[in-house]
Amino acid sequence: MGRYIGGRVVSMVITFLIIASLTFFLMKLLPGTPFNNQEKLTDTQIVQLNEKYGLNDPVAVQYFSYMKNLFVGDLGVSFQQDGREVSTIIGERIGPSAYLGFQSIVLGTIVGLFLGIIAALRHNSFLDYGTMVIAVLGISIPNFVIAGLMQYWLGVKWELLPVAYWDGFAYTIMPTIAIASIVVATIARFMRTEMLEVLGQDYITTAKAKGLSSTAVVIRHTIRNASIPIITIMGPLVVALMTGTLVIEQIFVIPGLGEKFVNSIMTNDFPIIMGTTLFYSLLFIVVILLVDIMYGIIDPRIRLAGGKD
Amino acid sequence: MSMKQEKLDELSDHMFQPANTDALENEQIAGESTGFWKDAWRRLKKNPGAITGLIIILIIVLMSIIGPGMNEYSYSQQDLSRAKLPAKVPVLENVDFLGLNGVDIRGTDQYEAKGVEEYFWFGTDGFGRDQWTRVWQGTRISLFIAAAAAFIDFVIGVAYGGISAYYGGRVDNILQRIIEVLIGIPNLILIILFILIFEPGIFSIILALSVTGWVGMSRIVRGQVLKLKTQEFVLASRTLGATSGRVIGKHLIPNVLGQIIITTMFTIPNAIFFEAFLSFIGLGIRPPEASLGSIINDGFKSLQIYPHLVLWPSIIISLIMIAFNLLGDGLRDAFDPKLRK
Repeated sequence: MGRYIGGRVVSMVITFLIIASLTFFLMKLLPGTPFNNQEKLTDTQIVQLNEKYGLNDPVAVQYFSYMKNLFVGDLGVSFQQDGREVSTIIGERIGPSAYLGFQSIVLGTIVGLFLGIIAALRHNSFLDYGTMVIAVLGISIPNFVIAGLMQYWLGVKWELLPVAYWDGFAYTIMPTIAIASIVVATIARFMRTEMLEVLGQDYITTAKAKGLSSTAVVIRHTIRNASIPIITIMGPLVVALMTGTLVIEQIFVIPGLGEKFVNSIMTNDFPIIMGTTLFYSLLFIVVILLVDIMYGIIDPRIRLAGGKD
Repeated sequence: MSMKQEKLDELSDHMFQPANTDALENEQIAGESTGFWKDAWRRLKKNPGAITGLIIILIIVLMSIIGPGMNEYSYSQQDLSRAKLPAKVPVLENVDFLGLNGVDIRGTDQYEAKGVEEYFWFGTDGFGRDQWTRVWQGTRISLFIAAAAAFIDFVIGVAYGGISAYYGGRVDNILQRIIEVLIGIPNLILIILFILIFEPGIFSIILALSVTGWVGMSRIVRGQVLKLKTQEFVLASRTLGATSGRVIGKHLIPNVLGQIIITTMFTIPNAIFFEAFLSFIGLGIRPPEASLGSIINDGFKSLQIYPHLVLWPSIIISLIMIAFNLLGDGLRDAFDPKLRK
């Protein structure tokens, strides 16, 4: 197991270095200028600004200083916001996004598991079909459509919840539901399939035959075994959450990292785009690694197979 | 005992005929043989969800072709004197609860107020462009982007996965290491970076979607080909002297085709979602061109006062996504021989 994790960490670092380099060179290819009100600046000012941010150096020099700074966690300074540190900006912005992401995944997982379990236990019943309809809708309807519908009905028409901004729990409800919809749908569907498969296994028959109550069979044997593979879809779900926060923060005007990222794209603020990109990539890579390791710990059968791979 | 004897006596010679000796005729199978595709189609037909999906897709595709030409307005024709009109449809305008009578949410008949005689079936947007034409034009572009991205994924994914699995060994090893790195990169980030470099537009969006899109397809094809290539019918074909190209083209690909079609069915809604998502963060189609995503994004700016601008394109994009997901699920069940009973 230790060797497996070691190997995975090494390949993770390599992947991250490749992403960092790729991001850097792609950024260099970008059209447009990073400075605000370029047309108002005099030529000398532009030269000075370029000098200040090291934009006159050869690309190779810039690359190495960028990678060196990256190594000590220095992501550079923002072009737009008077030279504020990118890492500071990310630190300030991560709060609402993390809160929203966490709340969505917890809510989504709980509701999804619940629906999936009910659907499987009441297979081919009205509840089952209802859950599957919810699942298909949740996977299909884009989160921004859900957000828009809620904003209009819950926010504007019925005035139940605040339409936008970020100021306390009530403001998190609609964004959380919009992001969590895909989580609920994916997990409900997956859990239902897994439950149905486990329910057909011989050990369930054995458990019933030795006289366990049906509640015990469901809780101790079925749900436990069925929920293990859920971990495998957590990776893709985290990506879905990232995509979700980007759009949803934009719609609900939440001062999170996603909103900052989108705005920096529109204003050509390279250091922020790069910093955020790397941050998201690192998050993604670490989550995938954790998922794989957790899976190996929980299910020993995978560990063996994983070791050989 | 005697009863048995009696019964035997009843069996006289004339009750018997010589057996048919024609070997071919004996081997004849009475029913018409059911091939893989026929069987899949038969099972698909029994799935009401999948058929509904298929019908919705056909209708939407048809509308995206004929829709923009159904009235005299063009998708880019602006006229501020008729801006932001709610939907108004002849005949249906008399049915109050449908909300298709040109009265906005505050209860004023905008058509009367602005003195507009024409009917705009989905209303008009902030520049007075006909929303009906724009929505179907946008559907056309969204579908085109999705279809093109799915096609590129198909070509690269099948070739990459097929080569990787068929040749195996070192080729497979190298190709799979590349995939591992690609999977590590969040595709969202890569897509955004690509669009930033190439100016936003239909082709840069297609390109960006294809950069990482094919990976999923290639993995599925690789897995299937690895499973198939050791089977007897492939060995038999090789023994008979078939070239690699023939084995891949005639034996492996047709057997993986079911999986490929299923994957494509899920690639298309995914691409439509990503395209809409890009429009949302300001990297989508540039005006006056429109896609479903960019129309919804425009509509959001005046959601509180003119919800109809978001409503119609949202319904259509949701229908497309639901339809493709339903059809994809149905096809998966239809193609999966394990489910056959």
